[in-house]
Amino acid sequence: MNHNYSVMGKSVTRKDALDKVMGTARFAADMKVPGMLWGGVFRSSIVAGVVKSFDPSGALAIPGVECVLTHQDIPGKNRIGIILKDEPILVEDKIRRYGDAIALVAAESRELLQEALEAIRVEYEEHEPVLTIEQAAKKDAPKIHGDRNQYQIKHLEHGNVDEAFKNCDVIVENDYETPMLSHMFIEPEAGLAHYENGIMTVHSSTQNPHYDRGEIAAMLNLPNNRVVSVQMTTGGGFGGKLDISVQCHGALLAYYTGRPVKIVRSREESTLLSSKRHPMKLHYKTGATKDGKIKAVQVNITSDSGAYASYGPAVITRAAVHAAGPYEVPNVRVDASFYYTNNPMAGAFRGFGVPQVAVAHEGQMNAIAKKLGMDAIELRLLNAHRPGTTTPTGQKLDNNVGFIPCLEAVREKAKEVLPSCIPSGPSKRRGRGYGCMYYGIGNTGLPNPAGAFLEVLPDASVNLMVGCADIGQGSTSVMAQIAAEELGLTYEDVHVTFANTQVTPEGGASSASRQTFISGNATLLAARMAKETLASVAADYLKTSADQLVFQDREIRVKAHSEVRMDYGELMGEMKRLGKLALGCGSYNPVTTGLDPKDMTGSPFEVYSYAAALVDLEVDIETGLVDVLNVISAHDVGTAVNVHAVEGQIEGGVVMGTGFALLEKTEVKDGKITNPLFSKYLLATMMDVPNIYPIVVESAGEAGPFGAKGVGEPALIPAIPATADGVENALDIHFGKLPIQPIDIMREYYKKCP
Amino acid sequence: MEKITINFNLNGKDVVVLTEPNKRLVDFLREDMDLTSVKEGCGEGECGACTIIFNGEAVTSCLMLVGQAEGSQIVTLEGVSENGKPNYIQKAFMDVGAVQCGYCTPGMILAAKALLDKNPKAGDEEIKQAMSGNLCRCTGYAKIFQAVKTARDAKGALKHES
Repeated sequence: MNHNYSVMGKSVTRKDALDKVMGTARFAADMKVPGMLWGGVFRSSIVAGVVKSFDPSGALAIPGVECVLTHQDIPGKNRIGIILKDEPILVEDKIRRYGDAIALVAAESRELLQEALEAIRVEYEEHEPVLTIEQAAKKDAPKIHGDRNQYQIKHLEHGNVDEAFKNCDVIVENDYETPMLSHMFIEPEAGLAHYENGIMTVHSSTQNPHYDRGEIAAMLNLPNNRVVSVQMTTGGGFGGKLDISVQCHGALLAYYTGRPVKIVRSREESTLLSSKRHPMKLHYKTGATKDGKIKAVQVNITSDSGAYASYGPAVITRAAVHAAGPYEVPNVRVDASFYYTNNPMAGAFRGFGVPQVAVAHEGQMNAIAKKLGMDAIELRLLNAHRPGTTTPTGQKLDNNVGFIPCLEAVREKAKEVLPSCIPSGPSKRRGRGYGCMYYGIGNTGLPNPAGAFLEVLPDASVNLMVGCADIGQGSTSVMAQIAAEELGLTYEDVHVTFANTQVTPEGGASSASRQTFISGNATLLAARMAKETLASVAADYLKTSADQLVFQDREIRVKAHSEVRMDYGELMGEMKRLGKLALGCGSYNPVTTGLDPKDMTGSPFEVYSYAAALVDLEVDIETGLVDVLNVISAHDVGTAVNVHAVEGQIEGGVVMGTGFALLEKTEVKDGKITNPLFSKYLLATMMDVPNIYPIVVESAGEAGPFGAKGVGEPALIPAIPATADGVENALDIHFGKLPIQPIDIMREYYKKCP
Repeated sequence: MEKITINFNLNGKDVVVLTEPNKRLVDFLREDMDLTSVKEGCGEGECGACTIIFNGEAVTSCLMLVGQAEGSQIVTLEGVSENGKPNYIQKAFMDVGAVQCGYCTPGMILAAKALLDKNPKAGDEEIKQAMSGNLCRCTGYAKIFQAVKTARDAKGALKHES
């Protein structure tokens, strides 16, 4: 891109890096205040049923146990949920999953809390649980909520699928299955609540403090402005800290006791209770003509959302919208829905259903390429989204599309860096795989605004206040860069206060890869508003008009006469003399339209990010182990704001993606997760990771701040199908079901070569 | 429970403390000594967030009891910086962009320090091996690996100059 940026596109050091390397960054569990109680949750040990009797007397008899609370102690609403309010804060009518919260305890120490939780007695009446989609779909199945178990029944219809299949030369039909997965952020959820002078303050580990505020306020019957929700430094989220975790429980205990209450989840509690990735079953039928043009895609998706919906409706809608992948397909039909069961709650996990459909749409593309004898990249280039493409929702894409450059970048990089594909031993089989994706930035066809407040201070330093939670992705630094670039100041000049509902405007969730685009645009608008005042003063001083001014590198210059200039110090002196303040506020809501309930027609996103990946790997046919050697992952991010941060997202995404394809799976038995700990839920270590070549592709289009889009979730997605494809190519075996673990490889390989 | 007195060296200072013997070392460091750079991620010695340097070795403090500290030398991240400024490893983590959420960072830096203190010229594979007890979910390890290599090389260059 031909831009003369001073701050954008630079690998600045994150604002929080110093505190994090010094160990002084404060996470929620690090908080300690005088008079603090420890809070904890008494949870259901059954999967489905009702509480017949509840006896807290043993706990209350322990000196130092402050209180035991149940649903009867909730003054306001006892229903929470990001989209559907279906989850009780404390069980009221029935238990729907293992670990449902039945009662809360506050005690003087962690040891006493533990003792108290063990002293509570409960009797259950157990009900027959619903543990599979097939069971949930039966007419006479017990209903988890309301009068049915199937929800978010979505139908997308574009073109004429039935007619199109008749004119296809090749048709590929396959089943795919993706597992339930756990986020396994390294920091378990924690929070500290304090009720003082009529204000409830909750500090927590969260991806959306503004959402938390609303739920806490509704629970306590307090106005929103009497609840202060503050995000502490948060140790990763990936979607798993979007739901309420400790916030309401801590607040209720603090409200009742009048003392500060801290809750820290154990790893086991964290994994059992936080949302999971929706396990999905996908049936795909894809048709193409012999020249490689994809003509029709028909998809059926079913998914298990577990006991509560969480972000399930969004996962289903987004999966349906993205089901055909980043290709121009004139005829598409998708049917998708989720079922409630008594399994662990599934919700948001990096990609909202798009990783799942990418496994399938890329599996189909690779199968079509093989069937037609076409090069996998050529086939994609032929069908790729480009400016002017119409998507399956009927949206005509503008110029914010950079998919073809991603494909070309991958191909070029592979020629440059990848060594020959010679296996390292007689039992080794080499495979190369490809995967691509596109991803709509922001919530799907729904309003999702974010705001920013900004003030340029007398010494030309800047206070910027954004609602956006920085969960590790680096949004705080991104916002500072955007404000600095627009104002012509330096990155160091901008201080960012974020994710504190008392001082920052609504930010919405740090999810859907939306914050760079949405909070970034709000920041840009806030900076522009402050700059208008500054420019009018500078224009008078320099005897020109405001539109002739350039703000850059702490100076204000006249475009055509760069020797006519003033520095920021002079400008702020002039502002002071005239009694003016440089204030700005901005809010941005992506330009979208709602989706037609009949066929999902609409423009659900303002912009989409694109990506393509190549994976080189080696399979050992004696052990079934897969060694992922090299991954090239190219991402159209519009404009990279902080290049290090973008690369960091891609590298982290690649490792999570290869883990999705080969390693990770949340095991559930009788409704209970059996591998909630790192000792059984394996993650890659530094020993296991491949060489990663992240490629940042910048595309045209100016919808985002300086053209920036988003990369958080796209970073994960293409490596998953590319890894699966690599294994399939190494062995010439089709696996539709992920993860492909050594046992699956051995079974299928010896079936094929007995 | 009867308290016990233990003597040990913490971040370069000799300390004598009275504490419950059955307390986990991670809780003791975080709660009694306010050394909150020591993080708990799993409580089973798998994630490495609670890594400390114990008599020169990187160990997970969630699997130790405070009584085991008797007579030992313990270093936490608070004891790594030099005059309140980041040391060469911390600086490398900042410079190459190896920090995302930051929860694994203290353990990562201490694992790197334990390695480079013993073996300043550690090879790339030795680095990977030494760091493999510390999990990171954000970075894919690429920039953490790069940071440790950068630190190693920077230290080597420094020595060469002097």
